[in-house]
Amino acid sequence: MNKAEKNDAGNGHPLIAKARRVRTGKFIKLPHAYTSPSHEYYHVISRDSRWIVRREGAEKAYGIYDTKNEAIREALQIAHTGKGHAIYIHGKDGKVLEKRTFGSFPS
Amino acid sequence: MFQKNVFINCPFDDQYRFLLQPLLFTILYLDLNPLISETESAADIRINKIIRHIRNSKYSVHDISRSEALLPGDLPRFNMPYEMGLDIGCQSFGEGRLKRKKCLILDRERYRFHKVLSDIGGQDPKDHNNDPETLIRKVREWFAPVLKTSLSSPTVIWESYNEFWVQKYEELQRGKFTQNEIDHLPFSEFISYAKRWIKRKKGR
Repeated sequence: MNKAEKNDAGNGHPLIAKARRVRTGKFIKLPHAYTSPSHEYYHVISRDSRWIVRREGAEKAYGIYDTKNEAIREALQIAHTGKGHAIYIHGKDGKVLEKRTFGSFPS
Repeated sequence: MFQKNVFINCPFDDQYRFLLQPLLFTILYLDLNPLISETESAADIRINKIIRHIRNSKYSVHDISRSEALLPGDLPRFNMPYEMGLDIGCQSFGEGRLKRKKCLILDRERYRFHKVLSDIGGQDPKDHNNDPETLIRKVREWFAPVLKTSLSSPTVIWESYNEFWVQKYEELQRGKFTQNEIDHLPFSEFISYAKRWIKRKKGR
Protein backbone atom coordinates (compact mmCIF):
# COMPACT_ATOMS: atom_id res chain seq x y z
CA MET A 1 0.00 0.00 0.00
CA ASN A 2 1.46 3.42 -0.92
CA LYS A 3 1.26 6.59 1.20
CA ALA A 4 -1.77 8.06 -0.59
CA GLU A 5 -3.74 4.84 -0.16
CA LYS A 6 -2.84 4.73 3.52
CA ASN A 7 -4.19 8.26 4.06
CA ASP A 8 -7.31 7.52 2.03
CA ALA A 9 -8.02 4.31 3.93
CA GLY A 10 -7.56 6.04 7.25
CA ASN A 11 -10.34 8.56 6.56
CA GLY A 12 -13.17 6.08 6.11
CA HIS A 13 -15.03 3.38 7.95
CA PRO A 14 -12.82 0.45 9.07
CA LEU A 15 -14.64 -1.90 6.71
CA ILE A 16 -14.10 0.45 3.77
CA ALA A 17 -10.44 0.66 4.69
CA LYS A 18 -10.26 -3.12 4.78
CA ALA A 19 -12.01 -3.35 1.42
CA ARG A 20 -9.52 -0.93 -0.12
CA ARG A 21 -6.67 -2.98 1.21
CA VAL A 22 -8.25 -6.05 -0.33
CA ARG A 23 -8.66 -4.24 -3.67
CA THR A 24 -4.96 -3.48 -3.84
CA GLY A 25 -4.17 -7.15 -3.36
CA LYS A 26 -5.40 -10.37 -4.89
CA PHE A 27 -9.15 -9.71 -5.13
CA ILE A 28 -10.74 -7.14 -7.37
CA LYS A 29 -14.42 -7.63 -6.51
CA LEU A 30 -15.52 -6.34 -3.13
CA PRO A 31 -17.99 -8.06 -0.84
CA HIS A 32 -21.08 -5.86 -1.07
CA ALA A 33 -21.27 -5.58 2.72
CA TYR A 34 -18.15 -3.42 2.50
CA THR A 35 -19.45 -0.95 -0.07
CA SER A 36 -21.30 1.25 2.39
CA PRO A 37 -21.34 0.98 6.17
CA SER A 38 -24.74 2.75 6.35
CA HIS A 39 -26.55 0.13 4.24
CA GLU A 40 -27.96 -2.99 5.80
CA TYR A 41 -28.88 -6.26 4.13
CA TYR A 42 -31.70 -8.45 5.35
CA HIS A 43 -32.45 -11.97 4.20
CA VAL A 44 -35.71 -13.89 4.40
CA ILE A 45 -34.53 -17.52 4.60
CA SER A 46 -36.21 -20.87 5.27
CA ARG A 47 -34.88 -22.71 8.30
CA ASP A 48 -36.10 -25.92 9.94
CA SER A 49 -39.48 -25.73 8.14
CA ARG A 50 -39.99 -22.15 9.36
CA TRP A 51 -38.79 -18.77 8.09
CA ILE A 52 -36.32 -16.33 9.56
CA VAL A 53 -35.35 -12.71 8.99
CA ARG A 54 -31.62 -12.28 9.34
CA ARG A 55 -29.44 -9.21 9.04
CA GLU A 56 -26.26 -9.98 7.14
CA GLY A 57 -23.34 -10.25 9.52
CA ALA A 58 -25.55 -10.67 12.61
CA GLU A 59 -24.94 -13.60 14.95
CA LYS A 60 -28.61 -14.44 15.43
CA ALA A 61 -31.79 -14.23 13.42
CA TYR A 62 -33.88 -11.08 13.88
CA GLY A 63 -36.98 -13.24 14.22
CA ILE A 64 -38.44 -16.68 13.47
CA TYR A 65 -41.85 -17.01 11.79
CA ASP A 66 -44.24 -19.83 10.90
CA THR A 67 -44.89 -18.58 7.38
CA LYS A 68 -42.86 -16.88 4.69
CA ASN A 69 -45.42 -14.08 4.42
CA GLU A 70 -45.05 -13.23 8.10
CA ALA A 71 -41.26 -13.08 7.68
CA ILE A 72 -41.54 -10.84 4.60
CA ARG A 73 -43.98 -8.52 6.41
CA GLU A 74 -41.53 -8.17 9.31
CA ALA A 75 -38.59 -7.55 6.97
CA LEU A 76 -40.57 -4.83 5.17
CA GLN A 77 -41.33 -3.11 8.46
CA ILE A 78 -37.64 -3.09 9.34
CA ALA A 79 -36.76 -1.71 5.92
CA HIS A 80 -39.21 1.18 6.16
CA THR A 81 -37.63 2.38 9.41
CA GLY A 82 -34.06 2.47 8.04
CA LYS A 83 -32.21 4.86 5.75
CA GLY A 84 -30.84 2.37 3.26
CA HIS A 85 -31.82 -1.26 3.39
CA ALA A 86 -32.06 -4.10 0.92
CA ILE A 87 -34.17 -7.18 1.45
CA TYR A 88 -33.42 -10.43 -0.32
CA ILE A 89 -36.22 -12.97 -0.32
CA HIS A 90 -34.87 -16.49 -0.81
CA GLY A 91 -36.57 -19.65 -2.03
CA LYS A 92 -36.45 -23.05 -0.31
CA ASP A 93 -33.45 -23.83 -2.55
CA GLY A 94 -31.50 -20.86 -1.18
CA LYS A 95 -31.60 -18.84 -4.40
CA VAL A 96 -32.75 -15.21 -4.52
CA LEU A 97 -36.35 -14.88 -5.69
CA GLU A 98 -36.74 -11.18 -5.12
CA LYS A 99 -34.73 -8.13 -4.13
CA ARG A 100 -36.32 -5.00 -2.68
CA THR A 101 -34.43 -1.83 -1.92
CA PHE A 102 -35.35 1.09 0.30
CA GLY A 103 -34.13 4.62 1.07
CA SER A 104 -30.71 5.51 -0.28
CA PHE A 105 -29.88 1.94 -1.29
CA PRO A 106 -29.04 1.83 -5.02
CA SER A 107 -31.58 -0.35 -6.89
CA MET B 1 -4.57 -33.63 -1.91
CA PHE B 2 -5.90 -37.19 -1.34
CA GLN B 3 -6.84 -36.21 2.24
CA LYS B 4 -8.99 -33.29 1.02
CA ASN B 5 -10.53 -34.72 -2.14
CA VAL B 6 -14.19 -35.72 -2.25
CA PHE B 7 -15.45 -37.66 -5.25
CA ILE B 8 -19.05 -36.61 -6.04
CA ASN B 9 -21.16 -39.29 -7.72
CA CYS B 10 -24.49 -37.82 -8.78
CA PRO B 11 -26.38 -36.67 -11.91
CA PHE B 12 -25.41 -33.35 -13.53
CA ASP B 13 -28.78 -32.56 -15.11
CA ASP B 14 -31.03 -29.58 -14.44
CA GLN B 15 -33.41 -31.59 -12.25
CA TYR B 16 -30.61 -32.32 -9.78
CA ARG B 17 -28.86 -28.92 -9.95
CA PHE B 18 -30.76 -27.54 -6.91
CA LEU B 19 -29.19 -30.32 -4.78
CA LEU B 20 -25.74 -30.52 -6.37
CA GLN B 21 -25.05 -26.81 -5.83
CA PRO B 22 -25.57 -26.89 -2.03
CA LEU B 23 -23.66 -30.19 -1.89
CA LEU B 24 -20.65 -28.62 -3.63
CA PHE B 25 -20.93 -25.51 -1.45
CA THR B 26 -20.95 -27.59 1.75
CA ILE B 27 -17.91 -29.62 0.68
CA LEU B 28 -16.04 -26.37 -0.04
CA TYR B 29 -17.19 -24.79 3.21
CA LEU B 30 -15.70 -27.74 5.09
CA ASP B 31 -12.33 -26.93 3.43
CA LEU B 32 -12.52 -30.00 1.21
CA ASN B 33 -12.08 -30.27 -2.55
CA PRO B 34 -14.97 -31.69 -4.63
CA LEU B 35 -14.07 -33.75 -7.72
CA ILE B 36 -16.78 -34.11 -10.34
CA SER B 37 -16.41 -35.63 -13.78
CA GLU B 38 -18.28 -32.71 -15.37
CA THR B 39 -15.32 -30.39 -14.81
CA GLU B 40 -12.79 -32.56 -16.68
CA SER B 41 -11.66 -32.42 -20.29
CA ALA B 42 -14.27 -33.75 -22.74
CA ALA B 43 -11.54 -35.59 -24.66
CA ASP B 44 -11.01 -38.07 -21.85
CA ILE B 45 -13.04 -41.28 -21.61
CA ARG B 46 -15.63 -40.79 -18.87
CA ILE B 47 -14.96 -44.00 -16.96
CA ASN B 48 -11.22 -43.21 -16.86
CA LYS B 49 -11.99 -39.85 -15.26
CA ILE B 50 -14.21 -41.50 -12.70
CA ILE B 51 -11.61 -44.13 -11.80
CA ARG B 52 -8.98 -41.38 -11.48
CA HIS B 53 -11.26 -39.42 -9.14
CA ILE B 54 -12.03 -42.50 -7.05
CA ARG B 55 -8.33 -43.33 -6.73
CA ASN B 56 -7.44 -39.73 -5.76
CA SER B 57 -10.20 -39.14 -3.18
CA LYS B 58 -10.21 -40.12 0.46
CA TYR B 59 -13.92 -39.31 0.68
CA SER B 60 -16.85 -39.80 -1.65
CA VAL B 61 -20.51 -38.81 -1.71
CA HIS B 62 -22.87 -41.04 -3.67
CA ASP B 63 -26.38 -39.73 -4.23
CA ILE B 64 -28.47 -42.65 -5.48
CA SER B 65 -31.79 -40.80 -5.28
CA ARG B 66 -31.97 -40.48 -9.08
CA SER B 67 -31.23 -44.13 -9.87
CA GLU B 68 -34.58 -44.60 -11.55
CA ALA B 69 -36.15 -44.49 -15.01
CA LEU B 70 -36.59 -41.02 -16.48
CA LEU B 71 -39.70 -42.12 -18.40
CA PRO B 72 -42.22 -44.90 -17.70
CA GLY B 73 -41.03 -48.11 -19.39
CA ASP B 74 -37.38 -46.99 -19.58
CA LEU B 75 -34.58 -48.82 -17.78
CA PRO B 76 -33.38 -47.08 -14.61
CA ARG B 77 -30.18 -45.02 -14.61
CA PHE B 78 -27.39 -47.34 -13.48
CA ASN B 79 -24.49 -44.86 -13.42
CA MET B 80 -24.73 -43.90 -9.74
CA PRO B 81 -24.94 -47.45 -8.26
CA TYR B 82 -22.24 -48.57 -10.74
CA GLU B 83 -19.82 -45.83 -9.66
CA MET B 84 -20.66 -46.43 -6.00
CA GLY B 85 -19.74 -50.12 -6.51
CA LEU B 86 -16.42 -49.12 -8.07
CA ASP B 87 -15.66 -46.86 -5.10
CA ILE B 88 -16.55 -49.45 -2.46
CA GLY B 89 -14.56 -52.03 -4.43
CA CYS B 90 -11.56 -49.70 -4.50
CA GLN B 91 -11.70 -49.40 -0.72
CA SER B 92 -12.07 -53.19 -0.29
CA PHE B 93 -9.45 -54.37 -2.79
CA GLY B 94 -7.12 -51.35 -2.83
CA GLU B 95 -3.96 -51.08 -0.78
CA GLY B 96 -2.28 -48.41 1.34
CA ARG B 97 -4.18 -45.13 1.54
CA LEU B 98 -7.11 -46.58 -0.43
CA LYS B 99 -7.97 -48.66 2.67
CA ARG B 100 -8.72 -45.38 4.50
CA LYS B 101 -11.38 -44.28 2.01
CA LYS B 102 -14.80 -43.41 3.44
CA CYS B 103 -18.07 -42.87 1.64
CA LEU B 104 -21.38 -41.20 2.36
CA ILE B 105 -24.47 -42.52 0.60
CA LEU B 106 -27.42 -40.19 0.12
CA ASP B 107 -30.95 -41.01 -0.94
CA ARG B 108 -34.23 -39.15 -0.77
CA GLU B 109 -35.72 -41.62 1.75
CA ARG B 110 -33.61 -43.50 4.24
CA TYR B 111 -34.38 -47.17 3.49
CA ARG B 112 -35.84 -46.82 -0.02
CA PHE B 113 -32.90 -48.52 -1.72
CA HIS B 114 -32.68 -51.47 0.67
CA LYS B 115 -35.61 -53.08 -1.17
CA VAL B 116 -33.71 -53.33 -4.48
CA LEU B 117 -30.06 -53.21 -3.37
CA SER B 118 -29.99 -55.18 -0.14
CA ASP B 119 -26.18 -55.56 -0.35
CA ILE B 120 -25.80 -51.98 0.93
CA GLY B 121 -27.57 -52.97 4.15
CA GLY B 122 -24.59 -52.08 6.35
CA GLN B 123 -23.87 -48.75 4.69
CA ASP B 124 -26.57 -46.65 6.44
CA PRO B 125 -27.59 -44.17 3.70
CA LYS B 126 -28.65 -40.69 4.82
CA ASP B 127 -31.91 -39.19 3.56
CA HIS B 128 -32.05 -35.64 2.17
CA ASN B 129 -35.75 -35.67 1.33
CA ASN B 130 -35.00 -33.68 -1.87
CA ASP B 131 -34.45 -30.63 0.31
CA PRO B 132 -31.23 -28.56 0.00
CA GLU B 133 -31.25 -27.48 3.65
CA THR B 134 -31.63 -31.09 4.84
CA LEU B 135 -28.88 -32.19 2.46
CA ILE B 136 -26.47 -29.60 3.92
CA ARG B 137 -27.31 -30.76 7.45
CA LYS B 138 -26.85 -34.46 6.62
CA VAL B 139 -23.55 -33.95 4.78
CA ARG B 140 -22.13 -31.78 7.57
CA GLU B 141 -23.30 -34.24 10.26
CA TRP B 142 -21.62 -37.13 8.44
CA PHE B 143 -18.32 -35.28 8.02
CA ALA B 144 -18.14 -33.99 11.63
CA PRO B 145 -16.92 -37.26 13.27
CA VAL B 146 -15.03 -38.33 10.13
CA LEU B 147 -12.89 -35.17 9.93
CA LYS B 148 -12.40 -35.05 13.73
CA THR B 149 -12.24 -31.27 13.78
CA SER B 150 -14.61 -28.49 14.80
CA LEU B 151 -16.84 -27.54 11.90
CA SER B 152 -19.27 -24.66 11.32
CA SER B 153 -22.81 -25.54 12.32
CA PRO B 154 -25.29 -26.72 9.66
CA THR B 155 -27.25 -23.49 10.23
CA VAL B 156 -24.19 -21.34 9.53
CA ILE B 157 -23.49 -23.23 6.31
CA TRP B 158 -27.12 -23.03 5.15
CA GLU B 159 -27.39 -19.29 5.88
CA SER B 160 -24.02 -18.71 4.22
CA TYR B 161 -25.24 -20.57 1.15
CA ASN B 162 -28.23 -18.21 0.94
CA GLU B 163 -25.98 -15.16 1.28
CA PHE B 164 -23.60 -16.56 -1.31
CA TRP B 165 -26.42 -16.56 -3.90
CA VAL B 166 -27.00 -12.85 -3.36
CA GLN B 167 -23.37 -12.07 -4.01
CA LYS B 168 -23.22 -14.37 -7.02
CA TYR B 169 -26.34 -12.87 -8.62
CA GLU B 170 -25.18 -9.31 -8.04
CA GLU B 171 -21.72 -9.97 -9.50
CA LEU B 172 -22.93 -11.89 -12.52
CA GLN B 173 -25.73 -9.44 -13.30
CA ARG B 174 -23.17 -6.64 -13.28
CA GLY B 175 -21.24 -8.76 -15.79
CA LYS B 176 -24.34 -8.82 -18.08
CA PHE B 177 -25.23 -12.45 -17.40
CA THR B 178 -28.94 -13.19 -17.92
CA GLN B 179 -31.03 -14.98 -15.29
CA ASN B 180 -30.97 -18.15 -17.39
CA GLU B 181 -27.18 -17.99 -17.80
CA ILE B 182 -26.72 -17.54 -14.05
CA ASP B 183 -29.05 -20.47 -13.31
CA HIS B 184 -27.15 -22.71 -15.76
CA LEU B 185 -23.60 -21.70 -14.95
CA PRO B 186 -21.23 -24.67 -15.49
CA PHE B 187 -20.37 -26.43 -12.24
CA SER B 188 -16.68 -25.63 -12.66
CA GLU B 189 -17.56 -21.91 -12.59
CA PHE B 190 -19.93 -22.43 -9.68
CA ILE B 191 -17.06 -24.05 -7.74
CA SER B 192 -14.72 -21.14 -8.56
CA TYR B 193 -17.28 -18.57 -7.37
CA ALA B 194 -18.05 -20.52 -4.20
CA LYS B 195 -14.33 -21.00 -3.40
CA ARG B 196 -13.65 -17.26 -3.75
CA TRP B 197 -16.72 -16.29 -1.72
CA ILE B 198 -15.96 -18.71 1.13
CA LYS B 199 -12.34 -17.56 1.25
CA ARG B 200 -13.50 -13.95 1.58
CA LYS B 201 -16.14 -14.80 4.17
CA LYS B 202 -13.69 -16.70 6.32
CA GLY B 203 -11.21 -13.80 5.95
CA ARG B 204 -8.39 -15.74 4.37
